[in-house]
Amino acid sequence: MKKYILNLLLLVFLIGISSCIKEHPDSPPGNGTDPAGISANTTVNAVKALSAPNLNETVTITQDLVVSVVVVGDDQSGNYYKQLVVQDSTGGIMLMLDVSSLFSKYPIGRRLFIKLKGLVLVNNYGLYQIAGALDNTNTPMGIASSLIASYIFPGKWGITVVPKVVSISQLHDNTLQSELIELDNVQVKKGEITHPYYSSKTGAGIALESCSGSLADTAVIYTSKYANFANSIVLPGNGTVLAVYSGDKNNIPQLTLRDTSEVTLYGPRPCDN
Amino acid sequence: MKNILLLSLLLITAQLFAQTSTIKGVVKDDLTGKPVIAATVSIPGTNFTAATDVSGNYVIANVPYGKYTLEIKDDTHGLYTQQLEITSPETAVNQVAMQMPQEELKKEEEAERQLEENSSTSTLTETDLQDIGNQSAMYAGAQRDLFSSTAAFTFGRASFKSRGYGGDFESVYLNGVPLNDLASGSTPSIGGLYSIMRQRTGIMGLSPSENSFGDVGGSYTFDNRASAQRKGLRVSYSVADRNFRNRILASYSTGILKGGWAITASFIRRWAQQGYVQGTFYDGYSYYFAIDKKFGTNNTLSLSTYGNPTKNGRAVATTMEAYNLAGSNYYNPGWGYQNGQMRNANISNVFRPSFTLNDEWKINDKSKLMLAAGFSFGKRKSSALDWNNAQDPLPDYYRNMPSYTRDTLLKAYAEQQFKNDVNVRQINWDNIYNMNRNSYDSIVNVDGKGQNMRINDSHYIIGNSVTAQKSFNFNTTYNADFTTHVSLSAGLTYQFEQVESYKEVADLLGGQYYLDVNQYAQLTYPGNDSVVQNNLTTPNHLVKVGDKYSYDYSTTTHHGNIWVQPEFHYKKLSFFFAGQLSTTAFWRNGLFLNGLFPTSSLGPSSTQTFLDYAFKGGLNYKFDKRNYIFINAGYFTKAPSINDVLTSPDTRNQIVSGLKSEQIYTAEAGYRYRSAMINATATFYFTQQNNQTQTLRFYDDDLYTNVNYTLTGINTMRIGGEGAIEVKIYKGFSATAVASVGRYIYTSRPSATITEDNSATVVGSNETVYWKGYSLPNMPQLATAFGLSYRSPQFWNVSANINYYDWMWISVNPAQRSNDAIVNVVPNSTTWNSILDQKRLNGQFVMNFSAGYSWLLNNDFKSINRKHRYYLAFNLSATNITNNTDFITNGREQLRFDFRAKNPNTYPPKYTYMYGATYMFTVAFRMN
Repeated sequence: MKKYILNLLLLVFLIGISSCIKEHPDSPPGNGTDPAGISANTTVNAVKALSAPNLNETVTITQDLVVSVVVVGDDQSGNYYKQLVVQDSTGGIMLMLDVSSLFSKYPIGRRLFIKLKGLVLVNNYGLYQIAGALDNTNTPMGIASSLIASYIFPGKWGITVVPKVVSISQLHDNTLQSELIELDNVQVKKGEITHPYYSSKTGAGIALESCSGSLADTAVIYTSKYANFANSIVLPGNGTVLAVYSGDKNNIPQLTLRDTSEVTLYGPRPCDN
Repeated sequence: MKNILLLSLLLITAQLFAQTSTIKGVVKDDLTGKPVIAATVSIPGTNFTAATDVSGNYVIANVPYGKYTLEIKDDTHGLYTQQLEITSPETAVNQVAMQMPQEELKKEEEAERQLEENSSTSTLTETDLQDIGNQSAMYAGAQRDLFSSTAAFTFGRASFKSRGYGGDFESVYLNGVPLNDLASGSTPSIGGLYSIMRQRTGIMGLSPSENSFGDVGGSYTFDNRASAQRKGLRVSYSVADRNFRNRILASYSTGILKGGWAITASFIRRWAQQGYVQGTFYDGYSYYFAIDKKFGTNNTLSLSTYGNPTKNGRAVATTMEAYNLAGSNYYNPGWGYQNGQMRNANISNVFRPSFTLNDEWKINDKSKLMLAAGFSFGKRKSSALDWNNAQDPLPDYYRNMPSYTRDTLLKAYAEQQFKNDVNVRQINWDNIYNMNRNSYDSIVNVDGKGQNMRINDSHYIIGNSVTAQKSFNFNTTYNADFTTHVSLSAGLTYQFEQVESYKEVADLLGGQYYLDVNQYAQLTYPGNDSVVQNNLTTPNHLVKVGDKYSYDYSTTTHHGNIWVQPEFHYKKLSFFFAGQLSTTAFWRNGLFLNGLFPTSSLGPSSTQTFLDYAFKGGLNYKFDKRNYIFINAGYFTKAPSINDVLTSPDTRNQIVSGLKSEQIYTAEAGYRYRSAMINATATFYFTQQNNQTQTLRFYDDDLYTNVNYTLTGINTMRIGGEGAIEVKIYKGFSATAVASVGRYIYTSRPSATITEDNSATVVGSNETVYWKGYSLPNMPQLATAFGLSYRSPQFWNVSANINYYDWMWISVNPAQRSNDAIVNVVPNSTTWNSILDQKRLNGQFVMNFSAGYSWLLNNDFKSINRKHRYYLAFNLSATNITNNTDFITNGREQLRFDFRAKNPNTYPPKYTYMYGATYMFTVAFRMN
């Protein structure tokens, strides 16, 4: 009798153990974690203002500066290559990294803490960039793959950056450079509505006009030929465009799309003559 | 007439005058010739009784003349009777040669049979054992109870590990010399010698041993000194279809000769042109030679030497896709045809001769001191293809597999190629030779001597990973019985081990040189020429066969411990305490000046020292003759081993910072029942092991470098029960049931530091690995066996068993359980689960059969010299008789992860299957 009780106990024990076996009893938190022991001590705008290099000049950052930014532009669609666009509440900047497929580790919406000491601030025709180092011809290079982990400390992902709603006329000033913006009530210029985003013939961008302000307010969407939507035809209607503002060139604001899903030009065109 | 008269006179006188006599005699073991000590000698129906002394002598005085039956009894030999007539004042009884009774003989036979079987049925090669840390199975058989013999001989094939422990939880001694490997912490394989290691003591778990403090999982002591060997000759031949096809064994021991000498010599050869798996071969020798000399009655000096020079072609694990396409679970991608001959790229070549010197000093009847010293040296070489600036030539490399092709037509074509063309499915040696012969490069500043050369350099070579080891061990133990109740064991050990690791060119495969540089370092540090040099003292080194290349360093470990263990024995209760204090020191010494790490690669690293301690204690309570229980508990701290704490040993001296010893808490409790019919044991155990450090290394061909993944803060827990029951059903029939049920899991989230061998920076630090609750891999956490056996009184036996194994998981890649692996993956989606799940292997049944017959030739050939016993024994062992070829005994996730596609199948897991039906047949001749 004793033996049966023992057997029974053993059986209960077995079932007890087996029932608690899961296929993955543990998992990383769904939105990642921020790295421990690191916090921001400055802002993107402060960094940009810090050395304020002249056009096409570079400055190596020597102070122990850390910024906390969120990725707003990555290379998933191919429109950026070895680049990330990041911003905090004060402004945006472009990061140059000598690695492709950055989106797998640093996707749009992931917070990054960047230790800036030793990196290079570049003023590339007015576009501010952070590079890894200068080569022997003083050309800035992306941060080497093996060094990235010493400068960039990724944190939580899935952070939504609310685009700043602006009009084209507000863009000429460079404070919004490398930030995510939303343009409402805009449309592609009539003569270009049959064009693809990237035209191998002209190399020119797509001109976007505003229906709310002066019709002279235009911006240009530039698209890389490696973008997976490079050959897609632009949308013909009026509506909203989400894009990264890449700066002003010859008094024309330039935009970079993250993905065509953020171009919603489906409405009727109210301001065509 | 005269006799009758005398007899009647005697009878009368005996009655009248009660004339008495003194009976003297000696009792010896029939087989060994050794005295039987403490046997009871009595005359039933009288009060006359005596016990034999240490020489087997006994004396019974004042026995009246008469006819008697003398009874001699002993626990192991049983009962022996002798008719006796006493007619004179002194009666010298003929020497009684007690035979072990049939039951005991059968036990011996069974042990022999299992030895025969295990020594060769083990489907594991020495290298496999190293890989999976399953040496424990080899040693566990040292304990001859049903559970541990089943665990060793039957479960061992399924890579079962008792209580989920690895070799680093066991201490092993041979002739008093510790065998544990300091650099890795594991126990070494003694290879073919297992089959001659007869005198063994196994202590499982925390129970006290008089030979050593032991370890969490127990300790095993092999006493293979010449004087401890049973006198006799043994010669056997085996034929099998496993790793080796043939084995011959010869072993002879003299027993103790006049003058106190004893000699034993053994030789084993195992070989196969091709083993069970295609492309594998085996060519192994084992030898053991020992000589003893007794000085006086108190000292025995022993000297022994042994070794296992073994060369074997290995099988390598591969992916499910490759097995499926090749149509066999024993597909081995590691070989190919060269000029029509099979050639294996993965060859192990091991030879480590060892020597032991031992003195046992019986100080008095109550105490003894044992001193032992051991020395061993030798090399292990493991060959593999190596290449520089060229495509991976291995047929199962993921880019060479059909699944790498997206296009369906091309994929189908690639599949056909893999299935039908042996040169696609296997290594294409001819192609490799052609490429090497046609490869010419201009090398500047050869060997740093300023000369430029245009030479024929191989891009593919065979390289040996060599570990050259030297170790010295000293050990002493002292045992004393203070009173009948109190005894003490104590010991002192010092171990030294130095291991040099380097790569050596084994074959240039058609070219004339190989350029020893790390080209990929240049990708990381462009414009810097010195970083590519593996050794800056000979830049742009052109190496030839036998030259060292790539890396060269040594590790040195010193370890010492002292322990003491009092034991207390009472009628029902016995208990013990034990404590050990130990110290460990180790360092790396770089022998190449690495171009990437010019300041930290050459010369000695910092020395790491650890002071550790361990306590254990327990009690054993006998309720009655049949029932007893035991409870033991222990706390250990253990220094890490150097192989786990060097972040990138090939390139530099860097050691994981903030190292601390592991802590282990463990307890076990058991119950044992023994009766004429039933023999049963049940044990429960719990072990928590905290703060382990481990370094994993793998080659990442996207980064073109070795990546080192150092995990700190690994905690594991093992809990479970194990039991065995044997029921003697009827006459020779008996039934057995054995089970081990446990849960072995990770209980922490370790922290990972990732370094690359081609860059000076830390790629990742303090990355959390989320694997709390995951299962410890590659061992069935549930194993059961049901067996039936029949033993005939005519010395033959058959037995069969059926086993079921379950709760087996493959090893997990820590990188795949990190934040980075699931960036932007929707929680609980299919992708999420496919990344995080730990693959569980299917439960499997296996059946085994064995039969044996032991023929005592003396019975049938009366003309044989009666001084000896001559046996001819036949053993057949058939394993996995249902030919189950779906049993995966080892599965590993690759340590790479496709972070871009978040696809765990880009680098799919690799598997090893248990062999299908195999057999081994042995004919053995023994003379005792």
